[in-house]
Amino acid sequence: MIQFKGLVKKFGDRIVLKGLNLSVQKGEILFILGTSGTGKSVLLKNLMGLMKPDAGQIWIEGEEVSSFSEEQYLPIRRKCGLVFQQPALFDSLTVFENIAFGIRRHTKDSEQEIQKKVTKALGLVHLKNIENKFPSQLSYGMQKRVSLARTIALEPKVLLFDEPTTGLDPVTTSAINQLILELSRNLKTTSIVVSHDMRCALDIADRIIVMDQGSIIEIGTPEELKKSQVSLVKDFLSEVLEKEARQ
Amino acid sequence: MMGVISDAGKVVIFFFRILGVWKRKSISSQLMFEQIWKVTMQSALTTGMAGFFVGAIMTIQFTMQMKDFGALGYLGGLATSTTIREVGPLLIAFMLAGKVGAFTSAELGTMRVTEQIDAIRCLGADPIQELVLPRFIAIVISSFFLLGLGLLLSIFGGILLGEVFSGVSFEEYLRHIPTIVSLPSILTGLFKCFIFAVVLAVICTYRGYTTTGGAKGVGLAVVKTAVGTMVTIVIADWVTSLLADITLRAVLGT
Amino acid sequence: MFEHFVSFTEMTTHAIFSAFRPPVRIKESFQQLYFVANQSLIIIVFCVCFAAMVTILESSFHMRLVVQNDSMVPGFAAMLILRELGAVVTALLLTSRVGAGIAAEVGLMQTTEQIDALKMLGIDPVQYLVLPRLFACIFGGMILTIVADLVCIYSAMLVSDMYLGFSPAMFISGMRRFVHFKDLIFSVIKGASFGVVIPLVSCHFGFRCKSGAEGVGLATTNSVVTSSIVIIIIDFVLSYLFTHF
Repeated sequence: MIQFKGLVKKFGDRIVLKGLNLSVQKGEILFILGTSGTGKSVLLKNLMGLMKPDAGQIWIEGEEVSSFSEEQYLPIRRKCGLVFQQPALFDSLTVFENIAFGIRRHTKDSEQEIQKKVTKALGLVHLKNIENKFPSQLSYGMQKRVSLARTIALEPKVLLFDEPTTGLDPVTTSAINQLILELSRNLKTTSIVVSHDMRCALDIADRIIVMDQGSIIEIGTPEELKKSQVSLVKDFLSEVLEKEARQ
Repeated sequence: MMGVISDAGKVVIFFFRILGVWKRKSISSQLMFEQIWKVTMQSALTTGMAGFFVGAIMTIQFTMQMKDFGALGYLGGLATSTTIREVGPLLIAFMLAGKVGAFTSAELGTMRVTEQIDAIRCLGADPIQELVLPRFIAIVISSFFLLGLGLLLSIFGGILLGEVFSGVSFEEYLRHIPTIVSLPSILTGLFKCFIFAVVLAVICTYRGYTTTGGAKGVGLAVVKTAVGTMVTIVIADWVTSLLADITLRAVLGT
Repeated sequence: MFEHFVSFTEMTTHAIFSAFRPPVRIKESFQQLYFVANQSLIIIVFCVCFAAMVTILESSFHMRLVVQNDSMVPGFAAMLILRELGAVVTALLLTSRVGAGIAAEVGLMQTTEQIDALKMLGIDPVQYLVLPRLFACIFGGMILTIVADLVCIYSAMLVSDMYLGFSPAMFISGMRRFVHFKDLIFSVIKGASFGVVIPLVSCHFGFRCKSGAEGVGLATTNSVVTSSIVIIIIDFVLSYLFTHF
């Protein structure tokens, strides 16, 4: 469904992605793990066309998109929804207008249909009766959920999460992770989650990728990963396994 | 030095990008009027105050000069003319650079670093069309109004100080204004206001739109906006004065 | 508004009193002076140069209108430059270059809890941060004003030589009829007073900075606006006072 071929991205002299190859299957939940600054978020932003790769190809459903113009990218962005690391809600708009923003621009729906879609999207993230509030009146966890609702309101086929749980408390973290699993299964989307959270990756991922220094160092199902001999993967795992052992 | 030139080039490219979007796409007039209202209301008080004091200062300075000549009668005309043609647009534009320019670049910069601008792109809208263009047009229009307001208040400040400080009654102050403040002067002033407004609008939206690096980046963007607009405004001031002078000489044939 | 005024006064008095208490951060003060004066020098020289050229062109325009000849232009322009332009344009540029920078820097320290960390270490943040900047801006303001005045007069002289047909000798003799040494002193006093305003206002907004990118942006904007307005008002008051001498 999605394929990266030899993707290279540089910032000045710093090479963030070193010829990355990866293909994502339809309907799977793929976790991308790695230490900070290894180009995980950059990968998602390249996929969404927010950044252009310096070399390599990106294929989405049989189309090579890396050279697309902003206009050509519109249908791709309809297909793929990105949930940002920060809530990135528009401060000046209400929750309703925030969620309706994308619908208004991508479709010609009537107000009633938009109303319905917004309520449905909010329902999917277990929120209601906050349509007329402004983002600043909500807690950070709620803002994250609204941001999620804004993305799924467009009914994307691919959901991309950029560190969805960074900076959240454990309770909200597990709630958000639960949501990711729920949404991916209920809406039958393909999901790519960029994260540091090995625990949650082991719980809900179909496949896990571990990245370091701009390339992939390990790839496999949670079960396969637990047997991995790569030292960084072991480090990531040992913490989780220790915690489990203590419990 | 190369940095300055490349920055200037990027600003020009950004300007044409805005114009391109303006030509191709529609803007919601509601969004634009909201922005105009917001910008004007936010800055009316500051600009008005600045204008008032600039007028007052010019009157004080001209009184000192005119007294020696016994030509106090010309005070009103001279102070007003200088304020309208030169000092007023410059100082009031400096004030706007601080108020409107810094505010806009901080606002857009915040939206950039909190990924709101990327979010707009992901939701299928063009941030230049949705965010930059309404602000750009609003700043040009309302800066024009605000500069006009500042100039009016500077005349008022001049009249008040003329009465209190120089002992020139306001009838006398006003009587000499038409003899010295000619149509070309007013046109020069207005033309300057327009150029300054465009310069201000394009630099602050560019700086805000291209902010990187979190809260620190926003602070830096504001500093760069304030410095950049002031420097460019001073240069634009010189160029327009020179152009106006040349045109005037050509038209009057002197 | 009122609350701002109270906390600003509080900080200012605190800063003044702590100036007479050790430790005096001489090295830091001179580093700040280097930053204020050296880093803004080129921009200021560049800008006042253009401003002076415009002033002299405009003066000549007006003189021809009013008295039909422009023989007084050098004197008038030099007077306007020394009394107003040099100090005010310098101060407004310093506001944006240095003032906004200070507000962003202190604001960032506030939001990243560095100010609290200073307090934990038993260091008085006002004394530590405000005083060196105050020193630097006062002296920097004075020095830069003198430089700006000189550059202004030179560039005005140049333009009047090339464009208006006054030789430098005519310019200087015209200037001496109107301008006295006290005008330069007044100009420097203005520069110093503006130099007091900029760091105090910027630090004030920096200390009150709210967290996040939005907070830093707001603190920086507010400091630029407030300093500019206060500078224009102080300029008015000083110009008024100086007419009595």
